[in-house]
Amino acid sequence: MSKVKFQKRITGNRLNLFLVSFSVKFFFNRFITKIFIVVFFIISEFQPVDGKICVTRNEISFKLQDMENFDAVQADETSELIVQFRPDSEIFVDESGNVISGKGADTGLINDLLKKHHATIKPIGSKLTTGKNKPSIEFPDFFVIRGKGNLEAIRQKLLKTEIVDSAYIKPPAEDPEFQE
Amino acid sequence: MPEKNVLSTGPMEGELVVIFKPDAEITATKKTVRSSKRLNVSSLNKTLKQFKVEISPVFHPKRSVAAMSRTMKAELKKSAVIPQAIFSLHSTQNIETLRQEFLRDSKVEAAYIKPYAEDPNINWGSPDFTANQGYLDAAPGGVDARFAWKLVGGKGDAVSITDVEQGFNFSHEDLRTKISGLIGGNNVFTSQNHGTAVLGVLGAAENSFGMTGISPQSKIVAISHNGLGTSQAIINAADKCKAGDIILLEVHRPGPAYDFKAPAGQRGFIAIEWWPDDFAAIRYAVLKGILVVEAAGNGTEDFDKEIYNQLPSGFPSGWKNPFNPANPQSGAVIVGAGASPSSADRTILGFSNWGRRVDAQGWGHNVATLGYGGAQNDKYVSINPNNNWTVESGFPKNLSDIGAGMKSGIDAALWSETNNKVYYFRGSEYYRVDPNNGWAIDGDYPKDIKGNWPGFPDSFTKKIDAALWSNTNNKIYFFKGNQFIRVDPNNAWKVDPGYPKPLAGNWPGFPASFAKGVDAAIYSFKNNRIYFFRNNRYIRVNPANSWKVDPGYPKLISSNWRNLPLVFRRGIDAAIYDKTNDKVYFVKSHDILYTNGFSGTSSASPVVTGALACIQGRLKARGKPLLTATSAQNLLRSTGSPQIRLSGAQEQNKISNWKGLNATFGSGIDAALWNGKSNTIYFFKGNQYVRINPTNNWNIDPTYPKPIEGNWPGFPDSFNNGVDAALWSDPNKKVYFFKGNQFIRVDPFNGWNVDPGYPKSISGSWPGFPASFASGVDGALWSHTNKKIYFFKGNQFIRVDPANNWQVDAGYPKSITPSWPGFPSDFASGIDAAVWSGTNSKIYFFKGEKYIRSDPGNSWKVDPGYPNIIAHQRIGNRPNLKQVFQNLDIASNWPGFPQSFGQGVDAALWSETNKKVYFFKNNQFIRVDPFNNWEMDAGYPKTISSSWPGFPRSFATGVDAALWSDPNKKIYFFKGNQFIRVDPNNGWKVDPGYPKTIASSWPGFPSSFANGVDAALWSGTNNRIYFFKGNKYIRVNPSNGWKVDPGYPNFINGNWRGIPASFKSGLSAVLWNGKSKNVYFFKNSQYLKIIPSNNWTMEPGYPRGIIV
Repeated sequence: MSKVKFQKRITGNRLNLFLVSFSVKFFFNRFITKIFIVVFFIISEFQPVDGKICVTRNEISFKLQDMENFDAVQADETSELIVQFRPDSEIFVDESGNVISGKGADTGLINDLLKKHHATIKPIGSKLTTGKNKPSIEFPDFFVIRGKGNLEAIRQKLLKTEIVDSAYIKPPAEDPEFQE
Repeated sequence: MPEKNVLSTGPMEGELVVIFKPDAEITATKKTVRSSKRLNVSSLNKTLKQFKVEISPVFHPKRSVAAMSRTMKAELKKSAVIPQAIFSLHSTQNIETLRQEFLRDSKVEAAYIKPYAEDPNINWGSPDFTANQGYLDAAPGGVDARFAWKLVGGKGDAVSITDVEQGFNFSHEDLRTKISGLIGGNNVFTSQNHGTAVLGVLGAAENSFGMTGISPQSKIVAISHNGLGTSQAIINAADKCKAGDIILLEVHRPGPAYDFKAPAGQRGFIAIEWWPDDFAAIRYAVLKGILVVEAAGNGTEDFDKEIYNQLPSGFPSGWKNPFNPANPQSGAVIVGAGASPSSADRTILGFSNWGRRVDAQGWGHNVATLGYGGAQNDKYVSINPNNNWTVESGFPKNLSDIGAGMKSGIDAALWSETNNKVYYFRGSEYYRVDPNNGWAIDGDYPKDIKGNWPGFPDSFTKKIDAALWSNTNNKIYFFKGNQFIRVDPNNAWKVDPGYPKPLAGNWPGFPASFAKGVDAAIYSFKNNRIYFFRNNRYIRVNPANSWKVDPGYPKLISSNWRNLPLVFRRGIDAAIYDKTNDKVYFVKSHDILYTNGFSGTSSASPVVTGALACIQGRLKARGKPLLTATSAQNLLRSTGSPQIRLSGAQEQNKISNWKGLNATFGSGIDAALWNGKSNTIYFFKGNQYVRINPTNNWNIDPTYPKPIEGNWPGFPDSFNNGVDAALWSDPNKKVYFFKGNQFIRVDPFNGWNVDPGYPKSISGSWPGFPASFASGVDGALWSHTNKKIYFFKGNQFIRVDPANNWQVDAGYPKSITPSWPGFPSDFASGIDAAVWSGTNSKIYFFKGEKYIRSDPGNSWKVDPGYPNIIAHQRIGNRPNLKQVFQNLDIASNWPGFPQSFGQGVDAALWSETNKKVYFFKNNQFIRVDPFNNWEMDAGYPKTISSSWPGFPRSFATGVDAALWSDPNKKIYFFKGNQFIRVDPNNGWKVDPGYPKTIASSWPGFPSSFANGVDAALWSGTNNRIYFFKGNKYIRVNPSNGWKVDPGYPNFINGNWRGIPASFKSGLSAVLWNGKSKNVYFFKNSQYLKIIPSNNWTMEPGYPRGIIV
């Protein structure tokens, strides 16, 4: 693992510990370096594989090597409620998962609805469709609502709001393997 | 040539032994090496890390080397053995590649692979199943991938394919070297066979076992839509692709035909681009230059049906049906499922969706690939604890030997001491097997885990990883991920209170990696220890020592379980202690499964995708523009093996007039019925029927076809299948069905029930019926025009007048011709069915796959434009790579070569003066431009005599060899024992004084070479000239008086690495490529490529044909 990639894996106190150890390496003899290497591997061994690692697109190559992140799971595909808001309402979802209108439109009803049905909303999109690298591809702003509650009830109420242009439910996607 | 001491190439798997140069003084820890001489070992350590290698000295530095006497060391030195320089390397990855990496390092003296050869079964490996992959074969049956493979780039080289679905087994033995994991989403284990099968069709590794993918050199990438959603998964995939790469959408979902639900299996499932966000995501990928291939879906749906044009509730108001070619298109290639040659080749399979929007077809069944089982199932080995834990001879064997009838894919197994039974767990099911009853499965098994193992947590009921009986406490343990539960067989098999618990902290001494989960577990009655297995390692637990892991663990499975075949050394799926004979069984399942029966638009889509990857790879290799979405669709539609209708005729790209009728109803219907109550039409075929709504543009209604049985109340059994005819009778508002010599009457105004007293015999009930019409009529209809009923049988018909006591009119029967004007002859000889339509007051007749329409208002004539096809079911053509390559002019490795040059060349040379390449054959030559995609220049071939001034007559035909000499910028030609020299800087004239004899001018030439050479080569790599003759070659150093280097001649064999036997003598020509610095050998119609920078080794994939 390159030093850069290793640093990316370390967060919080671990990063400090690593950097201190790294500095020590240049000032002590080879014996100390060996100790550093031991510390290095201890850190590596106990590195959690969950949320502490911030895997960015650049680190995918590293992640692909870690087969243990790909143990199979049981996760049934569920229906999704897809929503498009009126473009002039400039809707986005903040870090807390709340629907906000850049134009000050009332989104309280929508947020209450999501909360009531224990549903979450996320924008569908690409990093390339936002920011300065945005290509000249017209990509509609879709949002997906997921939850174990009644998506149809949410849909019906959303369609009655002024800022929702469209709302439809996509049934679960399945493998197109033919089964007798 | 520079070379290392390569002792053996060996097989691909085994133990890699590396001998370092003694003066490097290499020592090793477990995963790294260092040099006591402080030489730079960083690249070696990088390689060790990359290949996850464990390295260990063969002779332990302290216990062995240090303990040796001086005499002993001296004796070993005499034998050229330096014990401390020899190391053993273990890796689960490709050790041949690892060996090559080590050989590149200057500190390495030798590197060779020792095969595991202690016992024949240790070398067991999966057979080669590629003969089962008919889709690789020549068109029209296959896509002719084998043709594409002969061409550079034609294996999908440098093309990335991202498969969007939801489950994969990345450790499958035929996939593990091709892909390492997901780039997003959840890996759903219930779909693992599916994704593995798809990836296998695309890119199963090229090797001596298992399958080979259609585009085996393409880069395979996997993303799961589970957890992301399909549109987000497509966008994420597109963001990681380059223009020209491919995204495969292995999904379908329930559409509007069944109200977006799935009440009837997959009926009504459609391609996902129909939903606006998925359409947008596909469009996004396509506009980035990515090819998107999309499964049509298995819904038996006609994409041209009206229902797909209807705007669903909540869709954006501007949405337009993308299945309608007149509307904005996504650009995806949609793939339908066609039959393989074993059954009505290239006809649509019954489950496949179809329509004008579908672009191409692949094999929708019988696809041999990875996963599932069938071609190869679970295997097990028997290990004898009383013989040093050695695998017994004759293994592995099929697991069905100790569990006949079990499905493949066993996850876990255990011996239960309580009842002396063996339990196998597979997904959410389990089997109980009785070892004392011939290993038969007990009755009623398999059963669901859920509901039969009280107290099991929900996650444990869906799949478990490992299970074991512990004889220490008479409990059973189950393991799932990082958790485990304990079951007490003596307490009604309940889970003990307090479980599940995490492995970490409850199994003292468990390494962190094992605490994440284990693959298999076993209690050994032999030594009262528990063994846990994870990947290629295992640990041993001693229940008598506080359940601690014994010191020295984990260990490699390969190190202590003797004679295990390689696939078992990589890891096992389950383990059983067989108490009946004190044997240990290791089970290997998921990673070695193969099927011959992958099916669905699932299997069809990767067939087309792989073919597209071969095209893209070949275009890329030829430096030509890659396919775009539009050009790919056009190419697939304009080439390929045509779709065949069930009749044997070719399918057309047309919309059906009876929209939604599937292939079964598109040919040979049994009966047709006008429903005067609701103004609809029914078709009957076999045991099914469909309802057509003429007011909805003659579409069949959603959810049809349906079975007759259960939907037509009171039908006698015999009428539930294959009725002969049906008719609406307007005078009494009843419906009649005819079958054989019977008929029934149905009352539409009484719940469509059959009237009491039916069936009745036709004879006696229909007055005046001729005897021939009293049984097996072909068709019947009510004609509102004249208020009569008609019956058809063979080439005759009769007319019944309900107003006249239902009597047959006088003069009947009559011949269909000439009474029904304009009937085609095949209709006149007998029809399948007939119906009156109240919608347009016309009569329809059906025969085979065609129908005609008669107009009673126009003298009962057949309307113009008929007969027509009843129903089109377009799924398109099957790709034909040979045809595509020929159409795109990429079907030759040396494009433009005349046929005669393709059969072999006499000589070849690189001309640095004009940076062109010349080939000579008999009295002709051609010129190739390496900087114009190696295309042949216009105007060639030309004759040598007309273009090379001053050539002696003998050199104007059949030269032996030619070369460019950089030191003097001249070109040399050799013929027999003579040669000539050409000066490109002097009008390409032959220098004065030539020809000369080779012997007089080339010092040190052996006499056999002086009498004539086969081929000659200038090498810019080392500024030497090579001459080839028979099975030998010599090397000349122009800067040393043009003398032959010492040590030559040498054998071609062994010094030019990796070349096949046929190229080890009698070469036709050898060419220096001044552009890439590589070397080409030509022999008859084939050639190969040597990479000087890779130790003068042949590039994999050669030899190839000059012209394929």
